Amino acid sequence: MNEGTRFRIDDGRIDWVEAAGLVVTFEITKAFLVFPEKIAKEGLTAAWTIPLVSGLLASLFIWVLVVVSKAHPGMNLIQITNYLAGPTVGFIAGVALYLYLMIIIVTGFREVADVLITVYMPLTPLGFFLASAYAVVFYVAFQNTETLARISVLTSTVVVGMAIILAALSIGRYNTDLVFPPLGPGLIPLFKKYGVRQSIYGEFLSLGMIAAYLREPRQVGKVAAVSLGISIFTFTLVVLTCQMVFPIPSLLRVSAPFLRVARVIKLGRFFQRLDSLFVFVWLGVSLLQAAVAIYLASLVLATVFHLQSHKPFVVLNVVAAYFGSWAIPNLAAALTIAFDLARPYGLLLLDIWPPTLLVLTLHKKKQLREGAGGA
Amino acid sequence: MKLGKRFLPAILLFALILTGCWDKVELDDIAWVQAMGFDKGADGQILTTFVIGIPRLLQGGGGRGGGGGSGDGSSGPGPHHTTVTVQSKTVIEAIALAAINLGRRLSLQHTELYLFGEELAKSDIRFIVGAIDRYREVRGSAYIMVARPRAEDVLRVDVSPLEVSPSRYILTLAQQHMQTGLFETVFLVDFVNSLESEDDFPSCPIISLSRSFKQEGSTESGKGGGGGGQGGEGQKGQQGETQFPPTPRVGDRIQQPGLPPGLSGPQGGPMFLEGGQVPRVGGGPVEAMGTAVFRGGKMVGDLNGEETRTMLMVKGDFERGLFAVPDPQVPDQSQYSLSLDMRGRKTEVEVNRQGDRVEIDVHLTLEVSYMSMKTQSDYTDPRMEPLVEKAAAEYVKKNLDRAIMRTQEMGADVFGFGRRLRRTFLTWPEYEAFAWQSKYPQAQIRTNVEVELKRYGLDFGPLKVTPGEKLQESQ
Repeated sequence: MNEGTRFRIDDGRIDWVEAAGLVVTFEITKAFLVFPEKIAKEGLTAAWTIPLVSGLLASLFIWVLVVVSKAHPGMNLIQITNYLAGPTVGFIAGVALYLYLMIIIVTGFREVADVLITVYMPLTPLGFFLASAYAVVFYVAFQNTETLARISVLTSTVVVGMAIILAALSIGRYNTDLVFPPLGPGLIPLFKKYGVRQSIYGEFLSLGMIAAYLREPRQVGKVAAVSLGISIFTFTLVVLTCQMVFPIPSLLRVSAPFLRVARVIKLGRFFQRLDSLFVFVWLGVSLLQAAVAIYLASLVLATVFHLQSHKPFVVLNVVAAYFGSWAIPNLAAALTIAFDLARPYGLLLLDIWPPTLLVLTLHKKKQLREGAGGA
Repeated sequence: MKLGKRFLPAILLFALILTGCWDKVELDDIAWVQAMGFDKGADGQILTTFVIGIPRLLQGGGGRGGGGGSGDGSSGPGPHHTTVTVQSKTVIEAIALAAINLGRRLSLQHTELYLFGEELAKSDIRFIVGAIDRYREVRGSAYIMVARPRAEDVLRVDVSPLEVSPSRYILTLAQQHMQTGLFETVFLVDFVNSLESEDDFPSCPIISLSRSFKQEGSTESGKGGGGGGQGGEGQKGQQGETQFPPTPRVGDRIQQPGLPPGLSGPQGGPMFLEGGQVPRVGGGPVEAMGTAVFRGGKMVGDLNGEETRTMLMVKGDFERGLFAVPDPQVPDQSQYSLSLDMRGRKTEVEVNRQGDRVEIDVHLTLEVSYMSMKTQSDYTDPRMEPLVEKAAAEYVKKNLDRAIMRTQEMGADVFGFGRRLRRTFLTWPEYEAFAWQSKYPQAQIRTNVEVELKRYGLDFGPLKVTPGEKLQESQ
């Protein structure tokens, strides 16, 4: 092993539950705003099947990632790439992952800010809101893996629980006829979407980074299975709920459907205005997601540049993310960048990178076996 | 503990900053709109009427409207709200124009009702509904209704003798949908969804100024306003707004004939089917009954109370309702009608499609949980039960068939058959191309109603007539 690539960023150790919490928080936060509308545009009445089938397809690549991580315990994805393909390829892959993470933060947080300002804080300037929020993100991202992972367990539980509660309270408004016709745009277009929209699981690349911090490296498979299961369930639940409340023509127009669902829950005189609960939880988890993303992006840079700590990059990344979020002209532009550019192309990272590493791992093992046999 | 210490500063920092300057709200800087009404104005403009609560009067409780707008709340009971009507090019502009008059920012966060005047509804309300729906303060769970004749008139009257605020009245009124089935409740979000949907046409309840109230009003204006001996509590507010009518005088009677032509039930008896036409004396000045039927953004007709009940039954939204069903043994004499409390139990709608031809089978199952009879026939006798069940089923079926026929004439499927039709297609483009809106008038719709007599109330059989009484009657 090339010891030069296997340095340690001493950032604490986490168990599999904390790792799953971290991945789930990073992955599912995007489900609660424009996500259902974007998915509905592609899948029409069959929209709810997109996160489900795409998730199952993505599980193949995530499984490959798990196999690669298991084969290299204690190393993150970039360290593995450095080790198997050399520092140049590792550098390129690291930069690609870094850019992907930064685009996710920048567009995702702009989406959060825009919806919040539109609905609840119309007079607050965008720059001020972003500065306040990124100040918190900076503070949280400055913590180590252990701290972030522990708080993620709490937030992921709360946010998934909240999604289930809101979906359950909306049952009175469900109309099952609205998920028909069952094939939406047609079989062939639908299968194309299943392929492309594996990209919604792109955040699972974070698993390759945090696997290095697992107390039991062999439990990375468990982390992947649990977090993928929770993510598929949450995405499908959110899209299905929105679909059964808003018929397809309306769902294609509404900009934050799940928030609107929360705003129409009315159970008697005293059980309404549940959106206040929703917004509180959602804002909290969005801040944490941004902090996790900044942390991971910083970790990627620290690995690429062989630093022992991610902290020097946190300041840089927060400043870059702030100006990035601020520079995007509006919500529509943020969504175009995220859903139509970054995610589809980011899919290449998930679909090519881990399988390539798997091939190289197998090749390396074969070489080592042959070397040992020859000796 | 360590974790808490680490995150506490972050939470505090965020809370501190975000409660800051720009979006702070002082409660007494806001005028809380309880209801909004829209009517046709001059030159294609909109008349928007705001009903705004007066919190300091609500605070004291006790007294209610009727005093004719004393204004300060301290010198006796007065209205707990005020209204203002402004003419503007757009709805949102109206909010600004009202604010410069009232001196407070208008907030729609607690608005419970959006009311459309019938004339405006018959032109097109799509652009108004669209503007409301996208306004950030508006909640999708607010109610939508059509006012007959004008929204501004309905909103200016003091609506109920029981409630101190219009918003409270709206909430309690909406609950009567479940108790009577004579109107539906429609949320803004549902109305908007239907408005742009191929398979479900918009509909909403009609709220009307009552016939007796309108007659009183016109009489008064002939007299030149004032109390006019109606109890001396003042019929006109300071600004000409009509307040809640006083308790009727002893000797006041329902004006006869009770029903205008065309308001008779299927058997010729009075059915009191249309809002604003219920013969009565006293009570409030408005009634919610019937359904406004829309095609796109235009109101194209209405359903009366009985037809509305059948519409709700098909939609599966019918909870319960008290029906006056002709006695099967004397069907032509409406004065002997049976009183039945019917509840919706099951709705089955089967839609079959062959090419452009659509056939729909509707099967309703209702159950009776209370019955009273005015003759000596004992319908609780198991041998007689089928007679009642059949009579009730025929009565509902007749109303249902008429409602379906009328909506087919209007070309507006307010029953939601189109939603069931979705199940007969595999892909959305096929379904869209089918264009259900244009096919609904030609659809073959068969109905079947089944009524089950489950409970009769606390007695078996009718109150008995003694043999002596019978003998006297026969003599």
